[in-house]
Amino acid sequence: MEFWDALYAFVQCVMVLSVWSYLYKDNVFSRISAQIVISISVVHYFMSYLKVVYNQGIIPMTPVGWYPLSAGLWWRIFPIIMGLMLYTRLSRKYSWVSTYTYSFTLGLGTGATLSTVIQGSIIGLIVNAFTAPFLGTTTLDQASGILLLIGAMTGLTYWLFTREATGALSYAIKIGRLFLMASIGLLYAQDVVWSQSLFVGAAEMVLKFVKGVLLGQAV
Amino acid sequence: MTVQKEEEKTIWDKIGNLDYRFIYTLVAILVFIPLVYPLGTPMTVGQNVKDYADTILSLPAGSVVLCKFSGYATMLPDIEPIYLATWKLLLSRDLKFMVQLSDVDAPSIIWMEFAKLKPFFDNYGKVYGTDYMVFPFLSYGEAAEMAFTEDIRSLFPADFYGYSLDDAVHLPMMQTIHSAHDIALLISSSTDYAVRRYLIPYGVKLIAWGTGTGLLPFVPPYYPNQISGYCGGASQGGELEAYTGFYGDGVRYNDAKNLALVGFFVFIIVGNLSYFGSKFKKG
Repeated sequence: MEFWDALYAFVQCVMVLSVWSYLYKDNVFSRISAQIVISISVVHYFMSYLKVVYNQGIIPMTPVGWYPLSAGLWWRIFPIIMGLMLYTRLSRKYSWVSTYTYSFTLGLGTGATLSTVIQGSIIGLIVNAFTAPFLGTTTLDQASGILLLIGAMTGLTYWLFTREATGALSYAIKIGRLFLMASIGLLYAQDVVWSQSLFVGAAEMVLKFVKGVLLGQAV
Repeated sequence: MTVQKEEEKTIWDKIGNLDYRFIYTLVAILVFIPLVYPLGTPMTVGQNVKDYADTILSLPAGSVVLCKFSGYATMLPDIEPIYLATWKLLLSRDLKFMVQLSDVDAPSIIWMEFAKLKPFFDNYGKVYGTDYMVFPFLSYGEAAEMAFTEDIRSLFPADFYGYSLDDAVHLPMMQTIHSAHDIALLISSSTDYAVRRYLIPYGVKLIAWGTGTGLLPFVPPYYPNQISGYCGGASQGGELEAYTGFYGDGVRYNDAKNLALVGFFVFIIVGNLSYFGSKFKKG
């Protein structure tokens, strides 16, 4: 392993072990590693977004010929001004100025979204809910699909607030609640598995240092 | 002076109050064992993962694929197996692909991944600008997506390296690509955006990649009618590796996760036994 790779593996390993040490109890190593990560992240984010403003906003604004990507797009000054207006939130007196940026951005986003939201996220999902369950190729898949459809229908009844939950509706709501609870359990399980993936990735960093640097094996 | 009566602790209470550090240690051991000595636990490839790969495999030669790459460092272990297997799959086909970087970490991560895949680039003779290209980082919103789909050059006059998209020497592939009309497939990390901005207005085929928590809970309502296939989290990354034959860390990670899950199951059972045992004891 080359020197810089070994140094990289060493830093990774030290950082991972420092963070893991928190699991035993809070200590100076875990606090230092947390501070390092937060500090680097803040600077990284700030510089990255600054670069975007420079490359996408300022350079294209300059008259053609000044820089290779100058385009004379003077109107790009407006998004920059609107971005700067957000910082008026730091002043109690002038914080109202920032609301113009928020309202403009929200309006633009909503307008763009509405153009296709009905077909994409409403009609499309309804069609999918009723057709996808019957696309299974095996009996098990089809049974699973029908169960999914029942779950979707009864799950929807849980959110019906315009009618008193009595009679058949009350049973549908109870069944729907079970499906909702099952799906929330599934979300939790996915979160556990996701955390495991991150843990495995971190464990791999420690192993890389031990095998590659300490034992001199190929990694 | 008051005398506190200390309740006698039962075996169930003791099990329930197990020191959490013992649990962490056991899980760590269970994770490390398969990483050092791979076990090769059996794996089933899900239909959604098959559909994900098959959608890429079914593209005609010369098709253009747009990849939305939001690789952020903290989530990488959960998604990198998917990224790497997908890049290998794309490189092995006669396709052209463009990469959008939508997270601040993405510009660093993408080149790190491409460096790992250098043998694949060399082996399949893929050249930057001719077979693939990368856009600069941008945090996309709905309006930016819309602008990109209508006219790529209105959002990005240049690529990651600063070459103009009209530069036929450095970016020959971009001379025939102008808007979403020229894109055959989108590999997206989100569902609703992709459907609204690419499928509905332009009929672009969609597949999705992402983390286990960031993608899997949201994509099933769109699959398979709107999103043709999806692959989320390192577990499905392992499935993708197995299905495509491009093996990597995903299969090994699955080994480690499977064994660790056994530990979790044991603790869930022990926790429930403790709960119901102490409840039963108290009557």
